[in-house]
Amino acid sequence: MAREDTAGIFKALAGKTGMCPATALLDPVKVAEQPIGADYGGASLLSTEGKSPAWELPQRQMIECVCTGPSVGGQSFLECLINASWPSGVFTALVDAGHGFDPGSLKTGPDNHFFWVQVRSCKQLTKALDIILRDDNFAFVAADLRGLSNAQLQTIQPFVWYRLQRLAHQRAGGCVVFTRKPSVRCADRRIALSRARCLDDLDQSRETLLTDIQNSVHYMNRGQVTIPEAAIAG
Amino acid sequence: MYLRIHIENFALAAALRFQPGKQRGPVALVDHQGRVFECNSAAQGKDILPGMSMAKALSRCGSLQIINQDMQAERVAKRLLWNVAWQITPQIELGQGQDMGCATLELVRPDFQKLTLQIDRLLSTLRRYDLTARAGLAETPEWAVFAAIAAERSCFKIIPNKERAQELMACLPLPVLEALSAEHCAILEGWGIHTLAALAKLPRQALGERIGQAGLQAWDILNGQEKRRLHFSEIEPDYSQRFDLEDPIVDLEGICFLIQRASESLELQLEQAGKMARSVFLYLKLENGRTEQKTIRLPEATSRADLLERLLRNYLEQLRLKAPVCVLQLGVEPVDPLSRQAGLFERSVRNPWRLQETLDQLAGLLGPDAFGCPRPSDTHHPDRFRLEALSTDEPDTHSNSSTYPEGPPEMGPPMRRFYPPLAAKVLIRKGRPVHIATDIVQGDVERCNGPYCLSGDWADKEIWALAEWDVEITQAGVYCLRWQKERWQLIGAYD
Repeated sequence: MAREDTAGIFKALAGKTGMCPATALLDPVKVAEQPIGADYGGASLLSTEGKSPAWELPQRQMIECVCTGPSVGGQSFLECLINASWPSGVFTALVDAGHGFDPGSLKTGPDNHFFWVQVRSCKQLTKALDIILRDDNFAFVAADLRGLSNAQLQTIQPFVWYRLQRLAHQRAGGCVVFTRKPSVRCADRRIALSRARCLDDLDQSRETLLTDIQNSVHYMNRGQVTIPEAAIAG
Repeated sequence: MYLRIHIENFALAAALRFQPGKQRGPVALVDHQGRVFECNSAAQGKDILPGMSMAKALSRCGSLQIINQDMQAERVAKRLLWNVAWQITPQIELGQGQDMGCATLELVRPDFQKLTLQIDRLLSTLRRYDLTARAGLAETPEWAVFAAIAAERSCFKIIPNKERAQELMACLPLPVLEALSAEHCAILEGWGIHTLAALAKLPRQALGERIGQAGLQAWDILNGQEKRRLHFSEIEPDYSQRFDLEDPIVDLEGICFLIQRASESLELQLEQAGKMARSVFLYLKLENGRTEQKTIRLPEATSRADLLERLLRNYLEQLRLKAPVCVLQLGVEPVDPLSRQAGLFERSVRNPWRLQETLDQLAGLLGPDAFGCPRPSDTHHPDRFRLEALSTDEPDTHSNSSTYPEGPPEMGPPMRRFYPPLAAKVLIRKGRPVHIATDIVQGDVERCNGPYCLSGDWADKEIWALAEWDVEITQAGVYCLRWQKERWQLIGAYD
């Protein structure tokens, strides 16, 4: 009886977190305790004190950033993360499945610390992420999956994401995965960007745009895969 | 004091170092005449002795493994012995001919405590390189030979004074002394003299009268009256190793095994010379006559064999060879380590070796052009950029951010490109787009800015010209629409 109870608890936990029961047992749900505390330049987008708790991204975690449309602020968020100064490691990396990175408009700084990896398939993406996340020279790793179709994304087995999540826990900045809809079931945190850009945004400074994103972002806990209606409505 | 290092079955051990599969069981080394030159203890247990013909040896032991004498391997092992011994003193006499595999070192006023540690380290280093050695320390070179003979495998024995030397000589038979020929030994044994100690006790003059000069010399050696003058040898440093293989290698493991052996020797060579490797050179000659060459600049100067081996293994894993390898050469470029020392704040990469490994693995997975640091090209074309290799070396001090002008603040969100650009159907009214339809987005254009006309490369064959619009589609965001070569394309989204 006790064994059945325990199994039930595991299943409930797994259902809550979106992970397999064994994984859920190993890594139960936690509340974010420590913010990133990184310096994000003048915008202080992700700073902690006195800001919205939505931006208190915890250290060393895998975060999924769900961009509900092509023009909702994902690249702005990515730029902010790339240019942040992380407490350890030297390089920041972007594994780009859709070749969507635009070197002309996304500011990566004059130093050679940004590393762009172009992949063509899910297999390449997961392998490249695996290789980079194992290297302690990289402080922060981002993966842009928005160029992959849903069918391609479904070919990535959940245990692959779990393995990558464990590796991300070893990086100072962790790993942020950009997707079009919730796809990484074991992501430690999930944030949703949904406010569509307007033409007036082209005349705004990037700091102002980041503040706008900060005010419109939706923050979800682990296992929460449904994006709130309010978020989609923008 | 003199230190004698003696490598057991030197020629056999040297050849076996490059024969990974033949290190167990009875093994015999045959010379160019087809006679057993040396054999291991397992073969000796089967009554196989040096000088025996190969047929006779095989008839005594069917499972005997035969390997040919390898002069190249012997030279490598000899160099290895010299490099190891050099770490104690540069005054080294290397044995020739029958004494090949022996080294005699002259030590001036040695510190015994320190020397003991050094000899232990020396023997363990040789054992790590599959060369089992014995060592003896004594007041004369010949007594040191006796001490080395009496020592256990991979151990060393000290003869501190004449009394201890006499005790040892009481256990050693006459043929141990090289000054005595077999004929002299037979005469002495006829007199009832069977050990070196007994020979040493004979009167010198009487021995000289009966045996001659050899007897006098033997007596002087045994009583410590004669110290042979050593002929110190010098081996020029060689930072490359070449293997001409009789049996071509067909698999990666075989190549890596040779690379491991070569790296170990090069590591010792670099340590001996007080140098470090800045780059490594690999040359492979295939059986079909083709060659593969690769020079890898190391992320950080090093002399460690394991790092060199890992780097080369990564490279070889990506290499597709179409024929077996018959020649392998590995070399390093030596540099002075002081000239490569970085300052406290200069080094940026935490682990350059790991980074190099990561880059190699990514190159194997994606190809060498699929990653790097994006940099703008020297053109006004909005699509062009170049990828620079990620530097694993020390940072370029000129690329400091303070040397770049700040420029105006970036305005507007960065663009996320569609790859390839999406073909678009655009409805134009009064010269402006009013409706757009693509695979991922369609709708009325709420507002738009443009056109922004760009053109360039007018002096080249490929002249380009385009016009771009920034369009806001109702509740779908802002996009970049381009008119080029008589067609509309959605280039990207302002994200």
